[in-house]
Amino acid sequence: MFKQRLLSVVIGSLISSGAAFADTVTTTNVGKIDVQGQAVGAGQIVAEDSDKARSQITKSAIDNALPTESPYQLIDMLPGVNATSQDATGLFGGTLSIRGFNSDQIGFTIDGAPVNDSGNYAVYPQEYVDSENLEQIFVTQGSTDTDAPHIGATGGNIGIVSSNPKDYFRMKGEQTFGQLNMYKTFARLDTGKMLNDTTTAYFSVSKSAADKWRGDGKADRLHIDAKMVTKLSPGNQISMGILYNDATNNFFKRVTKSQYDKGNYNYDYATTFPGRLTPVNGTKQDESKSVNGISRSDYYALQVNPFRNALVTLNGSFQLANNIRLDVSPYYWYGYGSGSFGGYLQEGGKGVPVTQVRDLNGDGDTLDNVLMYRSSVTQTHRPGITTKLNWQNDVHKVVLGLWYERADHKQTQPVTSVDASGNPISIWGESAYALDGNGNIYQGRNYQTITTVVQPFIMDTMTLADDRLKLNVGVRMPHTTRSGTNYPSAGRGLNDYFEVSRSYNEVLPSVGASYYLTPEQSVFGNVTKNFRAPANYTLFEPSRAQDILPETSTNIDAGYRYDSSLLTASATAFYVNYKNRQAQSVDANGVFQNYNVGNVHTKGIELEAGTKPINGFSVYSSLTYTDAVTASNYVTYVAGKPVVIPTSGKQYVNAPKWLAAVDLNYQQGRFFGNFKTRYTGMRYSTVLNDESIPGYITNDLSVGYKFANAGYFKNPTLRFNVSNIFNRQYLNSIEGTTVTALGYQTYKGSAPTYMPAAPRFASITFSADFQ
Amino acid sequence: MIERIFKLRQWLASFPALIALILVILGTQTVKVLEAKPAARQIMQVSMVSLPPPPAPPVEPPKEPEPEPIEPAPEEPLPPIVATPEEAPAPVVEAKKPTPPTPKPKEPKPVEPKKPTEHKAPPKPAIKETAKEPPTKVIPEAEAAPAAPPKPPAAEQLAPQPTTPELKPNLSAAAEASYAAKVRADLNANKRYPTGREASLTQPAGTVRVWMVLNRQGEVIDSGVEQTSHAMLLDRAALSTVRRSTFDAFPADSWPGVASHRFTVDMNYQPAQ
Repeated sequence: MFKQRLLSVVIGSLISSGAAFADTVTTTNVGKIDVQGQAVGAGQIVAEDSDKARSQITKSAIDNALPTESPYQLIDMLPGVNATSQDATGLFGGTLSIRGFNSDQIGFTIDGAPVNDSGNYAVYPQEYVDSENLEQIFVTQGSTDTDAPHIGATGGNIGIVSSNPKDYFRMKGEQTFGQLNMYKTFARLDTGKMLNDTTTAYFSVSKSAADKWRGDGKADRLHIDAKMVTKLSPGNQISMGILYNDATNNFFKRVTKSQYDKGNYNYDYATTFPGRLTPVNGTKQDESKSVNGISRSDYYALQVNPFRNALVTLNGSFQLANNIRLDVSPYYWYGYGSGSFGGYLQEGGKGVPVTQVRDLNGDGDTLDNVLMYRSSVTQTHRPGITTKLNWQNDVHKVVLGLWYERADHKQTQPVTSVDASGNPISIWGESAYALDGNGNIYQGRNYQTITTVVQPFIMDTMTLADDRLKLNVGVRMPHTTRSGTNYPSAGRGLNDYFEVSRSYNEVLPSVGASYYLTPEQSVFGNVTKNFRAPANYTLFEPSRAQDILPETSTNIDAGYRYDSSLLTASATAFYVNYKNRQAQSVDANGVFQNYNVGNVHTKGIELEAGTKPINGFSVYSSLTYTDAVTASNYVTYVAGKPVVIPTSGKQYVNAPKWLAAVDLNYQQGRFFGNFKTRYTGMRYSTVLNDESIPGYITNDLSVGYKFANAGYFKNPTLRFNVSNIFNRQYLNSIEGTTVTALGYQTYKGSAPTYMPAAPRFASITFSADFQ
Repeated sequence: MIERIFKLRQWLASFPALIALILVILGTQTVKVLEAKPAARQIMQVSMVSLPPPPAPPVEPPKEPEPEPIEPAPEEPLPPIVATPEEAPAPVVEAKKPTPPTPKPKEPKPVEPKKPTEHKAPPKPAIKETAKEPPTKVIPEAEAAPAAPPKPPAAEQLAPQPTTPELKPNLSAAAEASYAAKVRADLNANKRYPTGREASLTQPAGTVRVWMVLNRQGEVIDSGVEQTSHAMLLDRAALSTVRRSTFDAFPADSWPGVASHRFTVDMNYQPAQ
């Protein structure tokens, strides 16, 4: 039976090969063409063909950088990106803005899962994927992707993409040592193909630490990444990614310009502790009084940022038919931790019990003002799922999808005790609590927000005109509901239980096109509407700024791209109409809360170009011009009387007019080197433009050598990284902007805050594979 | 009830947008239909199908006969321009062409038959042949020519070799090989790894085999995916590379007597490293 079948197969194949003989002239195979998503030169530009401004850096650029660098630092050369880091290592985080939009207005994803805080959209880049496991980071400068899972992005979006497991067994080890007791130890194991060659996986763990470059304290980070990819059959695969991060950092102190101008570049939190007062029954101990000019609450050990995060992403891709694919991508984000600062808590109190404080120092009276450790704790459980049905024919590619998410976000603010030497009893703020008048844990805030998002979306990409023209239309309709529950706490306006809920619904269209003029040249353009649901805290503001309107923006890109065997370049002109900007203001009753303070109009140009290596040299360069203008006056109240502050026509805050970057890359034989220069122009830090910080230039260098393989050791590589090589001193990041620094009429000014730039920092890294 | 409708108001409100979008899609769908049915398309079917002694002629036949006569006519002018003595082979091919009237779906045959006839041809003469073309083409071709042949031989056995020599004189084969190399070079110039959110997130990798039918002027008269990469983005990108490319006219002595010729190319995509 079997033989017979075999025979017939043989005969059949003979016949068919006979047919093939006769057929030979009808089809000519011209061979195989390899197409690599080649990054040009130093890996900071690729030939882009989408209909919007978009840039990305790839593994080859990431591999040159200091291993602890955060995504902010890794993308700081790209057009439009205004990024800073609090220190050289990146372990402490930093700031980012693009086209005038701050990081909490830009949508971040890791492998497609959203990672902005579900309440206030804050971003903590130091928590994300280890750079060794990064495949690429892409930046969409203005027009958010229609299928991206964001409700907080009036600006663009940034995607962090982890690498896939290797096909072969490999162990990778990497060790970095640097100044300031900095180290990073990294190890990764790739299993190679398993389970009938269907599955590959890796697991990596790293430990890193660095001292603060000013003041006392350090950053400590334990990080795990893992990923598994199973190919079920051609076109069908599932993958799972896991990220875990556990970090405890001391904060750097923000400085005002007047503090900075005093000349102490290393100004920071106090590094000595003045000691505690001895509790005495019946008399008042007031620890808030400074001792020799040092305030107890200013002690560095009381300024801590402990945080744990976990992210699990699953991606299933199933080919239902030749031209239909279903993508199912569930994820789960967990976050727990706090921003904690030293402070004082007055015992006693006359208000309702939740505002009262029981004896803190154990002297039996409630007269004292005691040094305590106040932790603003956030706990997030955030499951979500994106499902997409993709259909493609000769002309269309239609994607129909649904993103659903339910973020459970609890925010508390317990106050815990400090020991005799000024250290918190519990860094995580989990024991030695202050108790309120009822004997419960005293809370400065205690509320829960459940944010559910249902976002259907549909996109159609049409390929027309000999495939030179690509036309995209899409629309997404995020339906966001924020449901808040306030549990009585000592916070102002928060003493009673209440529930509050608001829904925000938008229809956000996007239209764009790209057209190839020649094989090397193309043009593109798009118009996209973005929106940002109000942050969750608006639900809990004293007079409840609950009916605040969502911010919206309309982003228009128009650009030109060139890609040849030597040069890849792009030029984009953009215009953003940003409406209903949200900011804090004061109402007629003197209550501080969020308002819509008007519109901002931004236009500008983003250029980038990269060459392919010539004699080992390649150059990448970007240039950005941004003209962001506040279009509205700022209306506020002083003692119940309106004050109109003439902010209209002023340059928008933290939006430098000029950004420039040049990266000179050299790679010849076993040697490689990289020299980066970045210029950031003058920036205003007040909406009224009465305070600004000057522009700066910073330079980074990395050089390395790849040794020959030795036995099982492959790719042994040694590299040196030096950042801020000329040790320049300047104010680097704007941490807190204000309306006016000097005041206007009866409206009092307040000082913006900054972080100075980290000094020169050198490190050495050795890595090798074992396979 | 009313309350429920009220609760759903935002959803209801989004219906017009959805409907508009669907209309847009349907609208362009009709455009596609128009594009997909150019008469030219049928032409290529004829040439491809020519050899297989085949099943039933479907409803198509009416269309085939038309193009057939028309096409050969335009061809004739070309050879004279090139002024090559090798007009002779034409009849030979013609002779084996009687089958054309029987049209058939291109699908089944092409996969197996795609015989790289060019590989056994000495590349040098080919270059001379094409020297008439703009000089820019010659360079890529020179590079591509050596590269192209090695692949096909590996994939296909000797099968094509015995057959083609019988069918054609060497010079024709050489011209064809050089033309194929040039096609490859032109495709190379238009290749692109897809970019965008989906490409970034999925990092697709794989090989697509795309087929295309060129008329003697080098115009793509039809194209499609022969073997999917199982990644929509890559199939699309490969197809776009073919459709976006412009090719030279056939050299006079290549594929003599046929109105069009079918080519395949394997596009192997790998994400950036």
